[in-house]
Amino acid sequence: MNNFGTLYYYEVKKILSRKLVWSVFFINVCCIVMFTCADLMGKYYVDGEVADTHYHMFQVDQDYRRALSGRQLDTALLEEMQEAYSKIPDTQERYMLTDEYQTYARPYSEIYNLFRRWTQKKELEELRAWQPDEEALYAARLETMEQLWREQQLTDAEKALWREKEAQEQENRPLTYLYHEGYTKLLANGLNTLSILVQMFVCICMAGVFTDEHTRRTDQLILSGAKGKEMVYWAKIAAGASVSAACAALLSAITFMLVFAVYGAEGFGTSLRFSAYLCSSSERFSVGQVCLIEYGILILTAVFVSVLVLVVSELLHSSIATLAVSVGLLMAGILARIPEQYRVLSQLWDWLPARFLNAVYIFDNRTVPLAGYCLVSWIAVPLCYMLAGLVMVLAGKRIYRNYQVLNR
Amino acid sequence: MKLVIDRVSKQYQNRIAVDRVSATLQKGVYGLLGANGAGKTTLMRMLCGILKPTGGTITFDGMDVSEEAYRAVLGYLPQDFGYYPEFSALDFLLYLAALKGIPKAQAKCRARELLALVSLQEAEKKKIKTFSGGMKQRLGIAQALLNDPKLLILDEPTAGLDPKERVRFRNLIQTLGKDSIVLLSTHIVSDIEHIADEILMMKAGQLIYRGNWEHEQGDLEEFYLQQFEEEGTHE
Repeated sequence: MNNFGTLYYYEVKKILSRKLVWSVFFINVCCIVMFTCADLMGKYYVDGEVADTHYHMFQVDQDYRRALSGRQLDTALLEEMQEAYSKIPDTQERYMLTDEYQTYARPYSEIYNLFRRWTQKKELEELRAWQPDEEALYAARLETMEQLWREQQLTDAEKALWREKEAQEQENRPLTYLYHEGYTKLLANGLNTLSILVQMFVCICMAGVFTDEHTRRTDQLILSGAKGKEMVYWAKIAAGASVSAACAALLSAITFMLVFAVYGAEGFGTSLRFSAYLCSSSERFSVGQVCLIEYGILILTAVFVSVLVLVVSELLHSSIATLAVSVGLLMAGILARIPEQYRVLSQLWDWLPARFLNAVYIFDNRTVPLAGYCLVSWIAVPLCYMLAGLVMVLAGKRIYRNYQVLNR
Repeated sequence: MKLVIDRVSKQYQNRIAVDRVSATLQKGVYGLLGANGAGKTTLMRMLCGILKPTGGTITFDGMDVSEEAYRAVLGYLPQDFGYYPEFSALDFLLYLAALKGIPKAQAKCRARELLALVSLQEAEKKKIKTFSGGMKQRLGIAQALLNDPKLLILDEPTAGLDPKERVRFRNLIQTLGKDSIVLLSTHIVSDIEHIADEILMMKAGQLIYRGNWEHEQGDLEEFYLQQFEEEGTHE
């Protein structure tokens, strides 16, 4: 008889009945609330004096950005921006403290920041000397991208791929700016923070799924049961993977809700070119689409990491040792970095689950050459995770089947 | 119905836990006696397929111990085993019923039936963490009977039971022995001397005695203790 559903139900129940699981989940929710609101808390100081609160500054900028929403990034808008910034007295070192900046320029700060990113003209004088022209701006972006591709040591095939995507995006010119603060927050550090929290949850909560049976000595009952050597293994893997996926989905949903409640949900269709965090990508997605792809990958990564932890725990037969290995790997991924000059090594290192869940790596300009095609990271890495997960699950099954209940 | 144990051995690095044990068991109750470390638990684990013998074979009606079909007719109560503290008694039995391949619809009826048999029907919804040692042991006995096993292996089943429960349990074993093979290990002679159809005695991994024990042969406990003394003399 196929009792997989019942076994799966009880395996999930075993995981969820542990206080540890709920404690870690609750801590994760607290961390999400903190990271969402932290930027808005506290005061802004200038020369030791309180100048403003972060929340008020955010509100002011939000109003200005919303006022720009729906406008095309064309010569007219660039001229307005340049004119506004020209009113700032050029003697000031910190121009942001001037009344002129606050009154005239600040409403266009979003466009100015975009100008700086696209043209690499970082100084105010350079803007003043610049002749506003949308064609020149888009051309400058392409030039900046070419320089970046050279620095990243991209192959000719990769450069051709991204040039083609940039050319396709030209069809939509002039691009329309939309208010998208919520998505910026989700892209900038939302995903990163959440990925670490989810992986921590998985490492801590999944380390005991197999090992608890050995330490509790319930393994004797399980392994002597008709379905104990095969179906229970799959039920445990499915339970661990689905609880991890559910945790990732739930924490993602909480993050989305909180971020949208605080920063607003509008701007789903904003071109990625406007994103402060991902403007170095030539993908033709909107910020909303990128968020959906990234958070989808987060769920897949949670499943992959859970499989890794489950299999390692069955191999080591110790939840502490499993925790040490998985958290060690997580920390190494967070702390260590391999310079881009070592192209293959650094690319592989950046694929570690602890590093990959970062918008910059998911939409990396470095691709994977495969049968003459350039496979982009956001497709190649999840495929690798799936393949590696499958191999690990099959290896784990062998370890599980061969387990011997010895004297203890 | 035949359990064939053919020259089964288990060797750990430099110690032989079970040494070429052979026996053919048919319907009935078999009492396995032996001092601590004699190899009883190791032998039982091998009979349950959770420990691989280093030599020999174990088959039940031609089915090898490693097959799922073998485990489907097996009921096992380990000597020292754990529970899921947050599970209720009913949940525990339903989980193990699923593990034994019993269909869901049948499992609930069978679980309730067995809870009544071991006098735990009142506690079916209580969490196992609130159970006493005796209640846990009775629950363990219930789980071993879930699939109406043809081969029932009980490792020290009376541990933790009070005298009244022990007597009830003996009667239950006697009934089960009519339709299946029951192998029961203990070091308490009185647990088996009246119900076992045959006595198996183990010492240093070897089967040193097998047969019926009749009153005329004397006191079983005395015979059993003699083996200990001999062991002591050797040492």
